[in-house]
Amino acid sequence: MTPKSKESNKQLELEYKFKTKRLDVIGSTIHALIRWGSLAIIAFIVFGGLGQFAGQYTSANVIISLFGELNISEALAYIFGAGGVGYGMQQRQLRRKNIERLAERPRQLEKVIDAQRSSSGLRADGTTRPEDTL
Amino acid sequence: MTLEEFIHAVHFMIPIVGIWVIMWLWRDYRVDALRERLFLLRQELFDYAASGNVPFNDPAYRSLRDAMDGMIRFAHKISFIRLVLSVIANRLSPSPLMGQHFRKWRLAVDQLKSQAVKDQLLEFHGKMAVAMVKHMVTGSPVMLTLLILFSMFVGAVALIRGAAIGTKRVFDAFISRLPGIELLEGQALAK
Repeated sequence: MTPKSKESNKQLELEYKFKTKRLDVIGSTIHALIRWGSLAIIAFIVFGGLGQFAGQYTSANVIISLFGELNISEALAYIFGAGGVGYGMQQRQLRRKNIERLAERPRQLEKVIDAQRSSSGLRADGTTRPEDTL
Repeated sequence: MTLEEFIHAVHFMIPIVGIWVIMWLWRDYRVDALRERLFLLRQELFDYAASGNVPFNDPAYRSLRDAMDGMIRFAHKISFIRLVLSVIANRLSPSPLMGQHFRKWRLAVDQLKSQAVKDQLLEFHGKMAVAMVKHMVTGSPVMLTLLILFSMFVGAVALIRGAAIGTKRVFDAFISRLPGIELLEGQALAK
């Protein structure tokens, strides 16, 4: 390969990496817009409604009314939902700790068989590296 | 809006916020599940090579393992939106490097002597594509609709021809007609 074609290959590679990065940014922006945009709409509705009561009711009035309107079945449903989410999140934490504890040994053993063994590049607990998030 | 109406609106909003939270936790779960499937596949590939079927330094093995590593690392970026963006970007400004990895890998596979090893490596690659498409289908209502419509079409054609067709064959046919899978693979390796 001549130095000129090497240079042009390098240029192509850089362009390709740039294009890939650009897709990363566009994709991440669309996902962030969907994620945070939907939350912003919910917040807008709630806080927009709350603004109408400025000067009419105190925050304590609104909070008391919120809880006062709750019936037992609704309260139980909220506890059930929040409990389920909390349980799931705790299980996820536990799974990540397990991955961290158990993944190292097979990695070492595989390295004995294949010295060139490549890695996925994830963190020790199996999560995405912060620099890969964008 | 009266205070009572507002309270009702908030009680309506709380479950919606809850669904929003679960939706994003679910998305993280799906990424972890995809990584798990790919880790298992990479393990199978390693065991296959460790059994002496293909040398660890063979480009056909190395390249496939690199592709799996790339997919595991960037699994959080695999989505229907990303697939569509990749196809559009490739149409608007194609790069000779797009799909190059796949072509090089196919060449390395073709140079293998044993047909059984060739078939097995192609199967590993196919399984990786299936895992990716399943991940995209379960995360995108648009892609799920496309799959349902495609299945109905294939089912109708099979019915007319009087042939039986299984779900696996329908899914494989869907993947083979889906553009851009090799583009995603190439992007994961470009990082």
